[in-house]
Amino acid sequence: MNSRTRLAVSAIVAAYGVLVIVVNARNGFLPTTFTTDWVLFGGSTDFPGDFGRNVFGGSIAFGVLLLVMAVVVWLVAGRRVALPIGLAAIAFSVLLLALYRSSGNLLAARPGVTAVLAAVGVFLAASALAHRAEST
Amino acid sequence: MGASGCFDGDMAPDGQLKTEPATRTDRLLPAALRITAGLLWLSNVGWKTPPGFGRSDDGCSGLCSFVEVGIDDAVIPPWSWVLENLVSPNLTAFGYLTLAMEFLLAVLLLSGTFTRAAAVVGFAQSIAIGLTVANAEGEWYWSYLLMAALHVAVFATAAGRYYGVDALLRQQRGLPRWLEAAT
Repeated sequence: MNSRTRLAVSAIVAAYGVLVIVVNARNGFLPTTFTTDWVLFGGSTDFPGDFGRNVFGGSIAFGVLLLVMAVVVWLVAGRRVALPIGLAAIAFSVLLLALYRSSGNLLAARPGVTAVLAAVGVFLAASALAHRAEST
Repeated sequence: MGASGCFDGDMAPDGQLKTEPATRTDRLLPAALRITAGLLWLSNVGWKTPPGFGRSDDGCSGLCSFVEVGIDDAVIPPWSWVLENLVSPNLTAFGYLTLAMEFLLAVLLLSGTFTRAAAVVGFAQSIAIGLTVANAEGEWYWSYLLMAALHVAVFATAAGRYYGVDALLRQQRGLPRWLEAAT
């Protein structure tokens, strides 16, 4: 895995995390209920309103988690340690999805943002497998 | 994500023309199609809300109301029979299945993992949704045909091999044939 790929994925995840933080900034740091006071995408339109709420609906804490994942991608993608971290991210995403209710869940994470965390986990796990293939 | 190998239309040892895209644009466009399909599922998975999936004492909304629409405004009678006799009585189980499937589609298409398999599932889900709601008031039936077509395009271009996890997976030697086909 070259450093350009790691940097590109890391930058995308970080930018997405920042947007999640901004969009949900009025809901406190660690809420368990979904925000109704959106910083962006508060309009009653299908697009960008509904689309934005579904794609970025989370919390500041979840955005911070994504920023941490961005750093992790930059530091460990393509190494052996990326496999357990990636699998842990996938497992945590599944837990968030299982706890999803109309009022909220742990970290107020809608399935959209949860899917992005799982996708980052899949990338990390696959990067570790690719590393193993390169070194054999 | 990971970049794939690049051939300029040269010949493989078996005499077949290698058809890997040569230019950056040719590789970016399939990836853009794939990510668009991923965002489609990502932005729609959220309103399938457990545990009732729209069914409550007050009536029917959300996923429940779409199932009712499919029964009342049938596209083809056998499908409305399925909705009435299999899906509606088991709405909770069906709702969890839908939530899990659409969540998985978003994850796989965004990351470019097992993209061709995901495209087949996405195609089937698009047709199922179309058969359920295409005749409902205010719906444009072409939306669902275009959704299905989008997944055909993702499958045809094997879009996970460009800037996707499939490119990483395909670096592995001795990949099982079914896994190779899924990517």
